Amino acid sequence: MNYLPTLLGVAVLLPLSAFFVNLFLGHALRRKGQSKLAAFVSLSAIAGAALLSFISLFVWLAAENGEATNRTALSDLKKANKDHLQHLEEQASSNDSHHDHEDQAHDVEAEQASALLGDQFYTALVEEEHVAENGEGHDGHGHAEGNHDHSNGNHGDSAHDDHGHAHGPTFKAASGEYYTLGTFGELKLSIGYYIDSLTIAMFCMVTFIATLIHWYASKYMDDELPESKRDHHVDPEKHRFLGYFYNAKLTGGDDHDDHGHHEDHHDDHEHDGEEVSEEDYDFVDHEVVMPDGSHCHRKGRYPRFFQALSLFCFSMLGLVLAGNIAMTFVFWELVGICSYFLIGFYVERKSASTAANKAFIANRVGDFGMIIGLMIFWTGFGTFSYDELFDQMKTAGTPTQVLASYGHDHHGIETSIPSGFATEFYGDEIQAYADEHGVPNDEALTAINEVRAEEDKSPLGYWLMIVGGLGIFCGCVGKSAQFPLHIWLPDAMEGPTPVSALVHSATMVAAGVFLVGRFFPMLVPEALFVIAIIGTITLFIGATIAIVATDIKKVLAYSTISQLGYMIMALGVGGWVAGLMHLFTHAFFKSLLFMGSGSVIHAVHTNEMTEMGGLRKKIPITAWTMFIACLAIAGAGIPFVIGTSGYYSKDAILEQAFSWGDHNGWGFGGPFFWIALGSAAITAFYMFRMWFMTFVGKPRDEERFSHAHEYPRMVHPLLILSVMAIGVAWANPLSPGTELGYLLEASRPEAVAGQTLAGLGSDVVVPDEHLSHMSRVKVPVTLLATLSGLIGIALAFLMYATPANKFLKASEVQAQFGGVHNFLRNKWWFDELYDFLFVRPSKVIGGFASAIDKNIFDTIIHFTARAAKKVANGWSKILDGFVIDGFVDWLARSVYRVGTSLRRVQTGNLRQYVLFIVIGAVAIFVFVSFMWDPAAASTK
Amino acid sequence: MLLIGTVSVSWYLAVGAVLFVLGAVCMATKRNLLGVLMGVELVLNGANMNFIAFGSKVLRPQGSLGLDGQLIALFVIVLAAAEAAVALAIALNFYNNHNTVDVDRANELNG
Repeated sequence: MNYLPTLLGVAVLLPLSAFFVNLFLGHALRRKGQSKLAAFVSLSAIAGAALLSFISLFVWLAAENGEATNRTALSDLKKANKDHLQHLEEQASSNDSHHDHEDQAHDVEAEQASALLGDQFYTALVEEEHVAENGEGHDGHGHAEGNHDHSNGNHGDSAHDDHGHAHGPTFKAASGEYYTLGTFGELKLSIGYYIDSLTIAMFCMVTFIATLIHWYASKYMDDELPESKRDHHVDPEKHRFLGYFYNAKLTGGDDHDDHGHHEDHHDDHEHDGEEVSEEDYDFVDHEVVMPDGSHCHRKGRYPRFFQALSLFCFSMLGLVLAGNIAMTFVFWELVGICSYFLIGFYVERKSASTAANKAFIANRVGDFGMIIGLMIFWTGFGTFSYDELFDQMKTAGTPTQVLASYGHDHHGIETSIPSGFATEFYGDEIQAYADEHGVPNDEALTAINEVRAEEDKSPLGYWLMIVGGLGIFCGCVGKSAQFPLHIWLPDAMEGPTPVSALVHSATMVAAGVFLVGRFFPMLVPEALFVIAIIGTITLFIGATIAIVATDIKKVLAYSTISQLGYMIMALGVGGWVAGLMHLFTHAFFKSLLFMGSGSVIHAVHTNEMTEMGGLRKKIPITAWTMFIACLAIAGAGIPFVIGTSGYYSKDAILEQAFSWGDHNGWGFGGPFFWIALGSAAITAFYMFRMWFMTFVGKPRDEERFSHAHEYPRMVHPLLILSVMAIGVAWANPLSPGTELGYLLEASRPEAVAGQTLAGLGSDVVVPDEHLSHMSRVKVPVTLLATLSGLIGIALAFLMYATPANKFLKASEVQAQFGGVHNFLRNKWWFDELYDFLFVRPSKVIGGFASAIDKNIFDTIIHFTARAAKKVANGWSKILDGFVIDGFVDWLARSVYRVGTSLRRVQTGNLRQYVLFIVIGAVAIFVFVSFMWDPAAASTK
Repeated sequence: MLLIGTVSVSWYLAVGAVLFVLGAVCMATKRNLLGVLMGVELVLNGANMNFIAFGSKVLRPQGSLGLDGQLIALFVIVLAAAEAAVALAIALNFYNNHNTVDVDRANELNG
């Protein structure tokens, strides 16, 4: 366990070292024709990181299962949990059962069960008041206390165990510091780590997918190699020889794949007969047209690509490992800049450079909010460290989080937010109250809050918790492409496809969701409510636009936005495990989809699905792995038996959304549930629309179809990922308690584990996630979700896959819903809206400012400059010309004159000199004898 | 009168002064370079006379300056020898170039 920080720290630094190697040696390697080494360096670094991550995972699991509970106990607990839920269910079905107060634990369950019926919620609350009157009853609900015991592994309380979250590990989270950068008064900046099972799971997921993507990219980016393009100039015979020579040189001649690649490339060459490139340039960018009409020719950037990819992996891993928000923020920005480099990789293409700018600017907008949130939390808590923040949140009595296991009156709370929030902003008010009543400040604060609670008001400073949480969420909105700032993600598809797969499905966008998950204990129900709304809007918008997109990568991009919306919504409605589990499963099937689309694009050289069709015969592995991914994203599965990974995570989200609606008095479902369910049908529809359009039916473009083929090194990662896409969320029959769900369960924030949260400023209730596993939620939701998926798939099949589209013609449907289609085609007019709202006004303001600058400021400056010049000229004539120059010239002339007159003395006549000496000597003698009085001189 | 008077420092000074003046006049009047050099020797020896006189214990028992005078005289003699060697070398070279030792002809570096 003690090795974990070291292991993970090294795993973070490995990609960084690969970055530096490629940065400093990439150019040299390129010149020597060893460009592929760059890929090798990056790949081995990230593979090493993956290895270390998995070792950490095993270390963690060993410690977890060895120390806390043995496996049988764990499965017993799971069973107990199930029984408990069943029990609850029975209770719920008999409405009057809560009168039966045999034992305390039973009572609790009864209360909870009855409360689950939405309309009886408030009745239950009222009754709970009475139960809470007696002390024992209160203890029975004592989740707050139970949670404190959690970390000690104390499961003595049977009521606590019954709730089924009791398999709490002894090891919750390790946090500490690698290095303290500096302490400035209260502000402490350090490089720290915060390791819990979420961190480790993220490490494994990120490094695993990144390894596969490096592998994939080492082939995909071949165009950037110097060698590959040079092959085009040599005739076939010579080419065969040279190509072999190059490959032999690169790989030592023993790599079968590379040999295959050479063959493939030869084929490529024959098709691209018209291609003419210059000897000096490696890469011809056909999408860039130079002013003279030719294409852009440039050097290959193979090493640079891997350099950026390595830096990106480093930033992402650092972000996951970070032990404080300040460090998170630094890595957050690093991730941002890396995505900027990678999106703008084809920088000569205008679309790519604008897309990079767009992503960067959208992220900056979000980060601005994040800084605000960060500062608010720092002001209130006085620390950046996650560990201390969560600790304070726990011990501050945190009304919102620890308060009220479900059934308490959600206003009858010990109201205290971390006192920093109140004192920082309401110091005067508290001081006045303290002076008036003669009590210490902290008691005054408690008293004020009690009064406010009775008046149905939120405690002092509570709104800052909301604002701070939403501020942090703003960062997530930018990075995870949520509703107002989602516009950058589709454009980011301008980057190379491996980048899309890594950055925009599995990792970078995951950063935002991860942050919300990490920060979850700090988010109050009101903030979570906003988060849920944003997530819901996003998932709906993304899904609808994806229906009409024809660019295969755009479909996936909007699908990503939609799925991110699901995750965010899940977190917002309290489904911590559900949301993060979807993050993991989505990472696998979405990177699979992206890499599959890359394989398709590489095969047919177009992104447009309208030019594809029937490709499953040509590229079968790609087709069927993508089919698996489509099933996974649609959440396909046999209800209650088994399913793809998406089946587990998406159902968990829907269940939680359903549960949320239940608890907030929406009756059956609630808005979040129904929108999410509808979008699930849409998801299934657009994914299968994509699959059918690409792989089924008649080829729409014979030319492209006949040339299509797939590359071994590019499909191997697809096969591995398809296995993960199916089974990543499966239970592990060999060792229970090691599967993804339980792994995440172990690091569910302590403060909210098994709690139903009630808002203080509003009536929002965030239900305990475990309540969503009850069969009265689970059964209808699972059936509805499966049904919606089937409807979506069936619709897609009818519209796109039936021969001659007998039943439903896509074009007719389009014509029928012309307005809607147009609206969606234009992506809800978001770009135009932002153009109108922000871009145009800033251009107008900019023009105005520029006019002021030119007409007013420039005039003033020019006038000043001219005046200064004139003054300087005049002054130079007077001072410099007359005074200084005059003096210097006069001095020179005088010296010259003296010299001229003195030279006459030097006659060259020796005897005259002697005479001078004699006369001088006599003169001195005379002077000394007659004129100079030594006595007078000495007395002076 | 002179013959019976006590020989004192001033006698030597008188002889030294005569030598000095003779040497100076010789330097100023001779056109022959060798003559000029002889004048230089006379001037130096005139000065030496003064040193010896002031350094003599016999002549100035009341306040001798010790051996300093004699030492400096020796020093001047050595210096004169060195100077004579250099000067004669110059004279020879001058003669080689101009076929004369007339100092009035050696005025090529005048101002």
